[in-house]
Amino acid sequence: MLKRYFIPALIVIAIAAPSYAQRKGPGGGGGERGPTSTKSNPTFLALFKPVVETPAKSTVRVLVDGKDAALGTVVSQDGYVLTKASEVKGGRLSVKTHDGRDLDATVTATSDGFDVAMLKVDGTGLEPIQWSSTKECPVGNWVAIAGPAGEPVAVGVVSTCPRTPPPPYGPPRVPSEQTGFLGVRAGQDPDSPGAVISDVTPGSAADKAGIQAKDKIVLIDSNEIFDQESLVNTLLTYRAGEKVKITVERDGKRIELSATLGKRTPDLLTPKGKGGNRGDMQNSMGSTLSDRRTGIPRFFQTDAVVKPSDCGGPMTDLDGHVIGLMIARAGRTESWAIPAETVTDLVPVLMAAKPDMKPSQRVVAARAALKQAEESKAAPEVVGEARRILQASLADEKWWKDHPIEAAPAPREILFEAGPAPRAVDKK
Amino acid sequence: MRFRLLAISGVVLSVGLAVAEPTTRNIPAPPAAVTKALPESIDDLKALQKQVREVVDKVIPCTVCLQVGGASGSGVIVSEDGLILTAGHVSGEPGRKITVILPDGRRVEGITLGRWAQIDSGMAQITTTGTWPYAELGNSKDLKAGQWCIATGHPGGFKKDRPPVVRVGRINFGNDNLVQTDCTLVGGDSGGPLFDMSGKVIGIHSRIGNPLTANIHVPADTYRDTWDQLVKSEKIGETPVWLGVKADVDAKNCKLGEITKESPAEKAGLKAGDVITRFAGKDVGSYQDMVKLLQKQKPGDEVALELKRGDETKELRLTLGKRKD
Repeated sequence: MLKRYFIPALIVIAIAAPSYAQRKGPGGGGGERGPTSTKSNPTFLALFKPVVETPAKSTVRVLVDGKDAALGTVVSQDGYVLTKASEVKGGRLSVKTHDGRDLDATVTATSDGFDVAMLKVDGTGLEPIQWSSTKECPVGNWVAIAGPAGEPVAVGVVSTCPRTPPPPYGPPRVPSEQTGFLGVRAGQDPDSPGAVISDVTPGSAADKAGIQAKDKIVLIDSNEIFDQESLVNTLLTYRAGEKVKITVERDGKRIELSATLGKRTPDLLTPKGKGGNRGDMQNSMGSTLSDRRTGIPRFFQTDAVVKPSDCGGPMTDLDGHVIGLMIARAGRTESWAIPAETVTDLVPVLMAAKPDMKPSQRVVAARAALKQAEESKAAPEVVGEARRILQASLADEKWWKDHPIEAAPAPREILFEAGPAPRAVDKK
Repeated sequence: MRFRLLAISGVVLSVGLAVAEPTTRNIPAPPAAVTKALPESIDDLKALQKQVREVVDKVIPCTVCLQVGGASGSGVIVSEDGLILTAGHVSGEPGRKITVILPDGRRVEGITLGRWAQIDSGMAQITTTGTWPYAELGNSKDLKAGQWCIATGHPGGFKKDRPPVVRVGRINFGNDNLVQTDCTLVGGDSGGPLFDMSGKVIGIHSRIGNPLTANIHVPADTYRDTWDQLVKSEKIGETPVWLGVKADVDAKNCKLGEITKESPAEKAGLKAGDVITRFAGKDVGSYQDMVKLLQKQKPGDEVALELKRGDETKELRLTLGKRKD
């Protein structure tokens, strides 16, 4: 069922001849042996100083409880700053600006899909970034990530054009006893989308619904299933006990089945943290990855080695054009950026909510932002995010209505961890 | 009848096109900026970038994904009729049916050919009729530390809407057995190509170590040296071949210490103290050189030897045996 990917991970200390390492002087960071990587060679990095000079003026260092957490990109003169949402949670937020000011910050809006948070900092006279675009695919072009002090923090080439991966988007769902369980093993159909069932657990929800081996699941409710991965991810958005419509292809015909999802037994819960998967293990070799590194609705990738705490800043090409917002260190070979044109569409959606708004006002603002995104023909991924933000603000408004107490801040995040995150509501 | 005719005209057509140029032929020669130890200015970087884009444009169409059983690796097409270089651990057993996924997502059929497990080289052949974009094989023996290179492949396996992924880096180290670069690789890249700045294949991705600088490729020259065997689906070095000599451990050259009784070596007249200088048409500097050349042979092969016995130079031929364990 699991795909194997070729590259035996051999530890190859022997081949990095010691004399070679010595000739190159002290090696790269992280206790690496052997020669330094070209992209972390200080002389090479310094070459990129002129290209990051301008974007660095719009870059801030974001701190959580005084510790480096991420970079941020200034999008307005009066203190709105984009950053990586998952890196700036759970503490007192502040930013350090290009001109050395320390300013307090609060999160005013979050896109869970893109993992982008909008910060409002207590200050004015900031230098907003000038976005370019990736409409001409930048594959093979050198790029640099600006640090706030004007130093390039990482460089590399663009490895792929922007793309939209299969859904679902947003933070990975963690299997728990509360998440819905179907009871199948599935593989991929190499020729068309869908998850091909290889095995049905007797007595499971799948068995009771009449799912058979060799059936191909193509839809769960209205969520399209592309492969076994999207099957798992989609199922994790449901709770145990929920009823779902499962559309399968059997002998070339589409059949709609109804299943009541069961409970996941404790032995079927994947242990938290890193483990098991060989692809994950290899991807973690040689660098630290971002905690959140999946489910981004649109991105392109670079071979620049960007630290998780250096995500959230602007990415610049050799002409000084800002073509993306760094969003994740995603694997050994890849760091991801959201294309500039997508960020441009996303900014108004995230700026709709103002810090002093009441929950009901946030709903109004989110609804207006969605309308504006639709009318201005924003990227479909951004419209999807605007819709999700509206759903979240509606849920928030309801929560406050149900809990009409003046004190006690809403323990929202804890609530969300206990159960699956709300799904995007279908466009009717 | 009509089918047969079509098939024949197909053959004629492909013979006619066999002289067609590789996809990578029109890549301009790398400018001077690309051969500097490190770029010195933004202009140098731009010249390098321009060259990378030229190469990438031509080599992406030649980079494929190989699905072998339940596993997924990469490869590069090196002939118009669809011969593919890959890693030995990707192609695995010769004669397996595989699916080859082209960068545009098209799936065609293929079969695995030979491999050299020890060095991790392998070959496959597209069996679906057609003509394919292909890259040229370069030389790996002239590679220098600090030379720029480009890696393509399918890290994590083939993903719809994601063409082969580009990485740019430099050669760190190379010898007859491996090339090491700082083009980062990960599972799924195995078998994918490493190119020089003219778009020629100089290596095939094989394995990684923990540091981001430990990315290991099989040198292109090993494919050239064993080409016919790989095409013939041989498993190089896996049939125990027997010569019947032991090294003189004190010697730096290929001086023989001991000859096994009734071995192919003894039958051919080799004697202790002989220094082998050429083996199967290649110069031999050390005993290890000779062993490596020996491993490419199989039992029953006839090989030519050149040796020094005192001041005398001798040539002789012998037939290799099969080692009994």
